[in-house]
Amino acid sequence: MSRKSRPNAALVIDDDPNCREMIETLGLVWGVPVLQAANCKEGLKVIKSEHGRIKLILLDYFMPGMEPAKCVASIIAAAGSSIQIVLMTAAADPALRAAELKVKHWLSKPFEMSSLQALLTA
Amino acid sequence: MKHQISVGHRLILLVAFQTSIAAVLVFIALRAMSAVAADARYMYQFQYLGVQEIGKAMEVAARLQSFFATRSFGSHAESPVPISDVIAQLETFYKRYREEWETANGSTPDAIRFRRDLFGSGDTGLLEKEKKAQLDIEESIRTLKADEEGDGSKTPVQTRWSHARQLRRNLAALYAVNLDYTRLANEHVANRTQRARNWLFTIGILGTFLTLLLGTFVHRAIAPRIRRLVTKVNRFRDFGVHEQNVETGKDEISLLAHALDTGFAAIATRDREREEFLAITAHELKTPITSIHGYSKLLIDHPERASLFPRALEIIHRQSWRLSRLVEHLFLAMRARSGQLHFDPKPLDLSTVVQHVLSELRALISSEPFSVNCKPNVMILGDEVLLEHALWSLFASASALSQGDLPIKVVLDTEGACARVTADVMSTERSAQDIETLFMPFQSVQYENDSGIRAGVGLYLCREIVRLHSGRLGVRELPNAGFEFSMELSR
Repeated sequence: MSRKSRPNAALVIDDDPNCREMIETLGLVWGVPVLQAANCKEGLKVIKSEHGRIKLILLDYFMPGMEPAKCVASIIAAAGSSIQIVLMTAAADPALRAAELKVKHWLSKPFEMSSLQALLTA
Repeated sequence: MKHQISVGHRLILLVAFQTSIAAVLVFIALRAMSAVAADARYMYQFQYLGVQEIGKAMEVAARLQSFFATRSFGSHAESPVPISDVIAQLETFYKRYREEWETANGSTPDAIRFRRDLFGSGDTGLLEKEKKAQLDIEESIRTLKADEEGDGSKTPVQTRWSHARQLRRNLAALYAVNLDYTRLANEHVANRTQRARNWLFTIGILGTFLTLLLGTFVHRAIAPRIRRLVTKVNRFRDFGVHEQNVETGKDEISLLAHALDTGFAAIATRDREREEFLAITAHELKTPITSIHGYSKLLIDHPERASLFPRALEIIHRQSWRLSRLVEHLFLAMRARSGQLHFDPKPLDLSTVVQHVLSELRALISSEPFSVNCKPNVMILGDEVLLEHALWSLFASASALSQGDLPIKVVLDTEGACARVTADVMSTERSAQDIETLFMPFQSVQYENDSGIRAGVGLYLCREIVRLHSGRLGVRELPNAGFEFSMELSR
């Protein structure tokens, strides 16, 4: 009986390349592989191809090319219940935005690195 | 409730009604005063003067009687006035009485009026008494005259004394009748005065009541509505709540309410736009801070990771510059709003400025969003710092509004004495008319494209900078689903 490896990667879906790169670099430091997608469409492709590896999706609120609600619904549908989704936003009311999208966890930009580390390394 | 009559007309109606009431009161008062004056003249000339003249005639008759009495006792003293003159005096009085003061058969307006009053009050018995007294006086005078003309010595003095006494008594009867006349006339005048006073009082009370009633109607038609407007204004001031007004009329208050409504709606819209602007601005400011914060924390927590330092520092530098650019942009936009934008024009190469701004933007965007065709050496007189900001916000907005994978086509060209920068954007969702709203203060763009850069603060600053350069910023729709920004500057 073969032992299946646990998902350990995080997927960052954010249009800001510097933010994606920063999370990838921090993931490297903390030993967590980080996948990147610049928009929702790309993110769905990555989820499809790397579904078994992904344990966490860090999703920016403003998703280029798709409305936030539609984007989150597509991501949740593609990811299934096993992948935790965390909303990242620089908006003034992150809790409200998360509630609108029915996402339980959120990070307000600029976020504390300890919070990000806790999510990535959990 | 519909209010079709204007407030001005309501007030004019109220004032007109009050003026009418006042005019009626003045008219009645004037008539009353005229009547009082007429009554005073009437009482003096027709009543008191008549009584006074009868009294004088009575004195004459008494003196005549006294003279004959003296003679009857054997005196031979002569009358100081000839008897015939005394009789003539009495005849004159009687004639004057018939002409001026007689009521029973008199034809003067006063006599007719008084007769009417007597008939009205049922005191016609006095008229008969007056007629009888007059006949008696006339008879007495005639007898005395006959005594005198028929040689006084033939008529005994005693008889003549008796005739004089009869005349005096007849005059006394007429005097008594006229005293009754005076009393009745006085009562009639007093009644008339009382009636005039009652009229004045009634009209005054009625006018005051009607004026108050009309004033109350006008008040009810105006005051509650003004109070409602004031409440709305206060609620808007205190809570920023804009409630649609319910005035459906066409009067001034309805017009004022509609004007306030329009003003409040505009303020509410402006507030909403300002809130959105602030939210977008905060978002824009927090985005570079996220990278700066994250990378600086990495450097602090992991000094052993030296290989990561160059890239981290590069991103911190780039994002801090971006942050600085955004803050400077906001600062300049505020100065532009207050008309205090500092303008320091110098000769510069616009193509260099365009290339520099595009290179700055490229560093912030992962994909290549621009295709550039810049004519070299386009010299203009301009403020380089301000133009950098204008071009930065123009290209950033173009990037934010662009859809699809096609890059934004940036062209710098010259046309006569004009340098022209254009940015063609592919978009099916926005019209040129929509885009023009970005030229207004506190407008923002929320990006929906794939290339990513946000343009949070709209194109207000860009427009103001171009205006300072006596240039023109415009937008027009392209035939193939898109639009073109154009910035024209004098060379």
